[in-house]
Amino acid sequence: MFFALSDDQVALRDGAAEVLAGLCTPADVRAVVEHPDDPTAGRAIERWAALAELGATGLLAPEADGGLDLGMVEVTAIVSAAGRVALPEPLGLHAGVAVPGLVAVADTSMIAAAASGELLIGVGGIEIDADGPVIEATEGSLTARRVPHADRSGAFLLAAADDQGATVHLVPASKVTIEMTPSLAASRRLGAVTWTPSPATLVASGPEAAALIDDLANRLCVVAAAELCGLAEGMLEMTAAYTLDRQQFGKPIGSFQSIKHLLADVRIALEFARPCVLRAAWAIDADDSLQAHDAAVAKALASDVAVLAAATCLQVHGGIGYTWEHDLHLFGSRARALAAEHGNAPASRARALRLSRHV
Amino acid sequence: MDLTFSDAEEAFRSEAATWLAANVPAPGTLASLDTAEGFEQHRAFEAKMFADRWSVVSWPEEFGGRGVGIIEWLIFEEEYYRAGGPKRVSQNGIFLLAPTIFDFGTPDQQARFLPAMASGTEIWCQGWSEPDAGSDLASLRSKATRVDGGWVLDGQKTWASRGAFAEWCFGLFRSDAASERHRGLTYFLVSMDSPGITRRPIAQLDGETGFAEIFFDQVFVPDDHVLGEVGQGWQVAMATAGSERGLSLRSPARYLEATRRLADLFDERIGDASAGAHLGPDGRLADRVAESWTRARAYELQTWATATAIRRGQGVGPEASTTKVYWSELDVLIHETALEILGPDADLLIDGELSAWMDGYLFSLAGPIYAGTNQIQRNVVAERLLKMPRS
Repeated sequence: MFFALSDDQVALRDGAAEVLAGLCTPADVRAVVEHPDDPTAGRAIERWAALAELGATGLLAPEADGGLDLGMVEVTAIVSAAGRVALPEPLGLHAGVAVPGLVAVADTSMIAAAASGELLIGVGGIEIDADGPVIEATEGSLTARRVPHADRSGAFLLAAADDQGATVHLVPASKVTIEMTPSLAASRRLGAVTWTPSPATLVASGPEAAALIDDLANRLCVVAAAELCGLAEGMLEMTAAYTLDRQQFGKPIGSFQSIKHLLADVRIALEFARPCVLRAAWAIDADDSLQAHDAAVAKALASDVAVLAAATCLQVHGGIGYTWEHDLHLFGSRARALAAEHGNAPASRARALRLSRHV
Repeated sequence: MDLTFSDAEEAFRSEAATWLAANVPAPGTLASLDTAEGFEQHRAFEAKMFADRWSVVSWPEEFGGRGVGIIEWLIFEEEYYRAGGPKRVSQNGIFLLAPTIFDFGTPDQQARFLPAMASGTEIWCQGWSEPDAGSDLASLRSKATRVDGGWVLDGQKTWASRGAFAEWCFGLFRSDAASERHRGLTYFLVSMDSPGITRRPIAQLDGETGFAEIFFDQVFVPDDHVLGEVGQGWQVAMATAGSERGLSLRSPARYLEATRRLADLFDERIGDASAGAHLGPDGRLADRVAESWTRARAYELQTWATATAIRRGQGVGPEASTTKVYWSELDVLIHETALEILGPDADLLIDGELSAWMDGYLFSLAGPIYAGTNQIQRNVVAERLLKMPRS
């Protein structure tokens, strides 16, 4: 029993945090939001290259393909650090879901390019509700909605279902139609990906596809949970600092108990959400029997803490926090949007309870 | 990361489970530990555990333990609650005072007090709060006056759990009359048989006398019953408070088991809490059952993280305050949900007794108050973990 990050894992996370502190300031995130069609806005290209240089994009790829051959524990450590600065790019989705998906279907053509970060892989078509992953059935074309950075992805790992059951496809960008679908959390840069399943793109079917979809669904929950905890932490730090500066009634507002108790509640919720994320990440790495259960627990707790942090930190900032000019919304909107993805808190809780009783 | 248990740990679990299955009294066979009869029945169970060295597994063997680590202690706790073990009448001693005696006690004090505590021969109560010093504990006024060979205590303590029947009391007294606040306090170990002690049991919400007021009138305490240095009582007390708020008082297994019972109750009265009920008219209740479960799991996982930190020699510190708020509010959530499922029948007595859920609910309401109110804990979290300014 050793339930903590190792020294190496801490060093990896801190290395990523340092790079992000330099290359992912609120001004950068804002530039991405305000210039959605400019791929260079907010130093996006430099930032992604720096993350790739650290190995973050290929954490789960084999060493032979230029990856680090590490696990979800490392992915979530880095993705939490990314959440703390509201990283716009879908690092968790790419490194923690798409790359292991490519490895699972033994696609040799794209792993190296994906691991190096040159090729961004999108993931779509897997919705998660209280009963688990839900795959849309189709006989013709279908649309995977809300795929982050869809227009900058070179290929997509997409799920569909036919009368034989669920299937997974690896589809190059040239074979899909993308319509960008602006959302409030604009740094996510969502798009709708319309495609038609074909034998040429099929990479998994039958029980293999069902198992892969379950695995991808767990990974989706866990990377989202890690990012949500990071977002909550970022908002909490920003707000605790603000309460030292902001004076009312002749004192810093942080000296008032009503303010302390609001932020203490966020800190307490974070204290308990983080170990859930770590456990869920480890469960995937260890192929533990509780991996679906713990992914749902992590998503439930992390969604709640991020939404709580967003609302609480807005309240503590007061009027200034309600403005577009202030940076808080760059975190808060992203937190609310991610909390609603891949099973919101009530759906994730229901799923966890069900799995706890039938394991 | 490695979340698996070693073969030795699994063997320990199996040995504990076997013993508990054979020895834990059937539910409802012990009277409430807040009655004279129930107190003695619970004490007898402590003695039985001690005889087979299960009462304090993590203590050194010389004091009646098995010398195992925190992981095995948590495994034991899991098995204890899974087996439906009774409330620990000696909890104030074994979980709160004992860690402090290990840290601050002299070898003589350890030999004198620990085995008798572990066997249930001597049950301890806590003498900290006073009528005018609750959350503001540092304003306490009960005093200790230096005399030949020891000290004389005068004053009044209140809300002493187990105080109606306990043999010993650990208390904080002002030993320097000129001192203020946290300075000039001393931590005393006091026999409740000492001349000059009067205890007045206080009936609680359920009418039973779970706690008591204790009056000290010229009570003599010898020098060797001072725990830690004279004048350092606050520092010693904060070590006890860390144990009280942190993981040693309320192990996660307690909440996981309560939540399993809650889910069963929902299934029995309403329908399968996990199979779509969250979408129906009872969705809110189903969601609370599910939230109880995920929070209990989170508490369990945070405890393993804490245990790992302790094993690596890292202290627990103010994080213990987050723990105290979490388990106490989780306990309220679980029991409130159960009462809502039961409806108005929850209030009815069964053979003259409260139902287990109502009894548990009343007890859960004490959680956010004792061991430092949750409002005080939130101050600690804000000031020490978030570095917000002191009021």
